[in-house]
Amino acid sequence: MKNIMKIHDFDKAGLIYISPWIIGFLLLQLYPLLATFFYSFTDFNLFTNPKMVGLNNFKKIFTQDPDFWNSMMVTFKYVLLAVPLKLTFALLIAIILNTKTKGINFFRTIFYFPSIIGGSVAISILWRFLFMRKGIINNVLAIINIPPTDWLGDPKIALFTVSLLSVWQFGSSMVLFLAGLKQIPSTLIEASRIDGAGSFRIFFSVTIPMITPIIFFNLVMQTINAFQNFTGAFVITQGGPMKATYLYGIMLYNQGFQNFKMGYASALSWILFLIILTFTLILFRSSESWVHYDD
Amino acid sequence: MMINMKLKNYNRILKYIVLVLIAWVMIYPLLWMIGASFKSNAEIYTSASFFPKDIIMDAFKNGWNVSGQFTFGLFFINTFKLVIPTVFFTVFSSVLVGYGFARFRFPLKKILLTLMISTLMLPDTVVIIPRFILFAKLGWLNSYLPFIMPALVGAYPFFNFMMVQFIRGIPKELDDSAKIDGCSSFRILISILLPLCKPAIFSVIIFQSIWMWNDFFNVLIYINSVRKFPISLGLRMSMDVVTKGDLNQVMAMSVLSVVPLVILFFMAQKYFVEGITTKGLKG
Amino acid sequence: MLGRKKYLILLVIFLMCAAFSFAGGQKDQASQKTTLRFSWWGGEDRHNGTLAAIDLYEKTHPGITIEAEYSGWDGYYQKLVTQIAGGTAPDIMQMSSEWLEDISGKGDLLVNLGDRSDLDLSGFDEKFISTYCSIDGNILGVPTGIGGELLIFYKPVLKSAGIPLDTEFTWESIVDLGAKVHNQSSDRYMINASTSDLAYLLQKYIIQLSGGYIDGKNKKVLFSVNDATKAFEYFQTWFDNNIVQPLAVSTLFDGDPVENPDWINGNFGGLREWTSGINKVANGRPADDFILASIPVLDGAEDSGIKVYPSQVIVVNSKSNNIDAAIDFVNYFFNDEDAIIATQTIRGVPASSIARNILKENGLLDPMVEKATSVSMASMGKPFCSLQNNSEIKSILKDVIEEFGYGKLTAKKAAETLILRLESKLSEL
Repeated sequence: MKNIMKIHDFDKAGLIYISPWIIGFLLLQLYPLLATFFYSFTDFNLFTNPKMVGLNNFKKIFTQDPDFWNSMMVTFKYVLLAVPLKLTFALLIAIILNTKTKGINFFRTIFYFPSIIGGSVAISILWRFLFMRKGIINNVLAIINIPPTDWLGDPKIALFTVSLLSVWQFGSSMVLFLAGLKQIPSTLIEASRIDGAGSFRIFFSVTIPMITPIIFFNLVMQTINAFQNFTGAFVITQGGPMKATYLYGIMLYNQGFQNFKMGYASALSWILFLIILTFTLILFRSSESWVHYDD
Repeated sequence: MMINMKLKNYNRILKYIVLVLIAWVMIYPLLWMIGASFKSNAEIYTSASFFPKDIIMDAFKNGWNVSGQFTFGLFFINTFKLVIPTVFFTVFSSVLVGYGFARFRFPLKKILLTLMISTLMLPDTVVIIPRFILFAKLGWLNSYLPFIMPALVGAYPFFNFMMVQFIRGIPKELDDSAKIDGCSSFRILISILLPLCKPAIFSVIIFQSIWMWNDFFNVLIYINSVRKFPISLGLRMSMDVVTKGDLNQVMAMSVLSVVPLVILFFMAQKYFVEGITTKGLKG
Repeated sequence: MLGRKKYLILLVIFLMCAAFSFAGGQKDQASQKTTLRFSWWGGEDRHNGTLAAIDLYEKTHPGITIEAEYSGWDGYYQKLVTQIAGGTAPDIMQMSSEWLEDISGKGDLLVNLGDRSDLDLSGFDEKFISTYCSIDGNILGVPTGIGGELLIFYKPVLKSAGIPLDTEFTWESIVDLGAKVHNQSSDRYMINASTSDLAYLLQKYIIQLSGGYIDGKNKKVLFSVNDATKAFEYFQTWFDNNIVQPLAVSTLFDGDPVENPDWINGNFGGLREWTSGINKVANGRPADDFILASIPVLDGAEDSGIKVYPSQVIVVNSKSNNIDAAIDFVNYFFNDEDAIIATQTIRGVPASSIARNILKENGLLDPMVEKATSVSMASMGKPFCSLQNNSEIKSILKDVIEEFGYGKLTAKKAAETLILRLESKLSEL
């Protein structure tokens, strides 16, 4: 009896541990959430009080806004392109760096540079250099006789180039994979080795399963982030050419801060929210079959 | 035996070639930025090569005294004032909240966890207006409180969720054996889980530091006085709509501003290398 | 076993909540000093010059402190709008004259400066103010400088293509002579223009043909399909004769043609620019290397469509607690000789004749900027009507030009699409 009572008490403590978040949520996050939800049913130009318009914004979005459908498609393409590439790179490099490698500190730091520099002014200038018609990439390709491409000027290729910017910043996902790999108890690996398993077997039956929580985290976070991301495209292509890189985030920002249609922008953002939520719930559901937790 | 050795060597060489190639792609922009700090403005826009045609030394000196009123030194200090408390509190709250969600079963847990993660799904663009109004009402404008206070109360769900995943990855047997020994939940957290979470905690430190360090738009909205500008605002201070300013100075200061982050990352490497020695697993 | 630890945790929670409430605003103690907040954007020169003027004012007005809130251009507008939405906008603000309509139309946010007897606006041209700085007859902003637009040609490129330097640059001559530039070297083009600049020029062409672009008040498009088709057909010749780079190449530098390496390396014959960008265009090359020319105007055109407007306007927040003090400072800023000398031409050639005279007397008017301004003013068009500066209206033209330039629309189709989209957007707004 005493044991069961203890455990019950013990679990309730969980509420106390998450209380900082509950406080933060109630005080700092609930109001903005509800406010934006409210705004989505209004006409709000930021200077005067919002005016209720019911479902008008949503109606317009779905029936009168060609940009909405275009941005949806562009963003989906971007997510499906950038996220898998980024995570694959990050995982592969993390695994390579997790072996005994000379200068591993050095490599780790360098691979993380793009994430440190972030969206600086320098990056946008440099990116132009790399990808303009007379840029470095084309110059290098010319050596093997490949004709120059307009990496950012050709509407068919621009989105791919913009995704590369995101993939290039795989450093943060890599760091998390490394952290996860490092957390695997060495005793587990040793025990398997003693049992006679080879490196390959250990990798697939012990290492990978043990880092699935981190793989899952990266997958969810990168997906959420990719759906909302827009600073790269905004700075380098402004959503062009011909809206080929007009990510949902750019459209949202323009409607809110350029056209002063905050109500419309709020409606757009809640639609995005629902889409991201759906995706995430699917990922969570799927996690039950492939993510390995030790509890 | 010989073939095995040869294969191993080829493997190793291949590994290093791949690493060096990728490293080159990763580091080149930083190298270019450093080179750009010594170039003339025109050259920056026309050359992607690292080496300046003529080395110009002024960019660092002039960039440092950027606005006549204040120096970049002040902006650096402001950045520390902004980043250090925010990071500290982020670690504090994310560990607590992560532990709570990871190791305890309490009513409404799944709903609360979903709620927490969904706060990430609403784009910043629209949330920023009501947030601004809220912080204005609280009187926190023109200070770093809009960043520090949310950190105190776990309002950066990315890190909460991250700690949840990391803690769940630690074998529960360790907890259980400690529980049987009569440890309180707090004790378990401090003595058993925290030491094992070092890589995760240092990830939190690194990520939050870098994000706070580079945050431009949010800081711009909340900070009015130039006296309180951190580096991210200071860098773009002289970039007018038409005259983009002296780009070599911006490059020079950008390079300087990256240095502390690189040092932080390099120092934090130790905790990624340390790994784990789990003591009580077989006990 | 939570027992005592439970209280510890509760204590922590309580402390956090306390921190929350006490972290709140350190309100200013009621002080003897009046503080005004003044915000502007700009580059280093503008910051230093304006700070100097503020310094002078503070020295002669010891009860007043002016908090300078300055930054670069990035994010300025978004921040301003956010501040207005949150009720924390500064007392005095620098704005673009184009924002006046949007901002004023949405509530009583700006002080009517025409009513203030303590503000001396005599140095300003009445028509200039009533056209660009007034909404519905209320003067809402004081114009800082005069901005305009023009064409700037680069002599070396013209010379080596055999184009005489005293050519009159008309729409036709640009095409005829411009083809020579590209024929001489396939790396070279006559005009450095991408989507945005082409949109500006095409709009002028249309205005010159038809006498108007849109009528915001009556929500009408003022040009016909024929006019627009002619305009698009004209610009088709730019692409066909390689007057400009293909859009796929130039689009990377859209909006910043000066950053195009080909411009810096001297491969372009010219470009379209605002007068405020003159010095950036030269980029260290001698002023003598450039020809300042007006944007071409068709013979017989009623309206050249060329913009001459205030570089910026200074406005006063109607919700400020210190409107009188703010106006006093604004008056000083524009009329006091020392202030004028301190600020010189950091905001363009001053719109106030008082200021211009003072600068001329002291030899402080930058000759290139002055020349550019007068060239632009010589062919000044009628003021743009309301809604012409509306961001959604502007992007319609940009989008259509982009599709046209990429070959997705023929000239006729582009004309029809433009009119269709404009009409539909006008009916919405």
